[in-house]
Amino acid sequence: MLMFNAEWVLCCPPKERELDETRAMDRFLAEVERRAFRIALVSVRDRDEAVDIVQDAMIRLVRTYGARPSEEWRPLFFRILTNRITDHQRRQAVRRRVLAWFEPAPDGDDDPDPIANLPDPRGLTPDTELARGAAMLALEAALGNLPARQREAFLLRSVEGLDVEDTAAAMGCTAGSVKTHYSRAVHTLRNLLGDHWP
Amino acid sequence: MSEQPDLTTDEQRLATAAGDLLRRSADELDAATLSRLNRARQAAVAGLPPAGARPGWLTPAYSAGAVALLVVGVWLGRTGDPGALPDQTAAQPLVAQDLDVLLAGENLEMMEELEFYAWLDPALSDAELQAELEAAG
Repeated sequence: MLMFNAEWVLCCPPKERELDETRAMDRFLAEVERRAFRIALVSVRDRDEAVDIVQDAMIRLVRTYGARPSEEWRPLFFRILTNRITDHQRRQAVRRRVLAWFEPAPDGDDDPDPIANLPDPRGLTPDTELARGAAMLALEAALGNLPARQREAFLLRSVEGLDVEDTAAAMGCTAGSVKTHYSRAVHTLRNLLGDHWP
Repeated sequence: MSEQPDLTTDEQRLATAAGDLLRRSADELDAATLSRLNRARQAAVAGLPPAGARPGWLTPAYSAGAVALLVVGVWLGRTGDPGALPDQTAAQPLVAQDLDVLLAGENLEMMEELEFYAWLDPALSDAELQAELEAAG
């Protein structure tokens, strides 16, 4: 761990301290990497892109904030991760706008309705309704329809388990904003998923 | 995670269930994804760039630094400031001469006939060579 105290610094040679810090960072990243990937995957819906985003966040944390106290790593890491996700979504939006110039104007009737495409839990048998696969598909689709900031707040709090203050640090906003985003996210999810989910 | 008072019990239950489901799926990722994440973590911890990333010396900062060094080097070479670089003042003309030798066409021709001159050197003494040259006019 990166718990610096005078005794430890005086008694241990720099090489051992460096090794200890490396191990601490490795343990931290190993602990968060799966959930970070899940959060990225829900947000970008592409496994390769999600791995790349997590990798970028890891490298940035180590290079830029590796010397910071380990207690700060979690909000810093998820701050970097959410920034990377936002960057990716902006690039995708620009790409779509550019590509739209070269494609024929879509017929409004053919637009897919994301809500209509959600799996309908009410139409499923109780056994299937309880199946995790279907529940996950419905949840991922619903999360994909949330505004980005609401989704960030929900994922950081519900999946990573960050408290309001750490979520605010990770999102770069106030605690009040986190509460509002989170509350609206849960309301919207309930409406999208229906009364019988999960 | 602390609960929010503005959420109903049902909404809090949904949030908890959704978080549990997502965390469980994160714990059961496929081996290929876990392997990629593991490699990414090892690369990050080692402070190494990821596979396929641009080498550090190709980054804009390093490139700008290299160009700046080159410009300074050329400028110093042209000015030949004896106070700033006393050791290089003697070396600079030599480098320039070497470049002249290498770039001049006639000297390159001479280098191509180096074997002939190497043979000629021990074969003729200075006096014989002088006589040959005088005879040739």
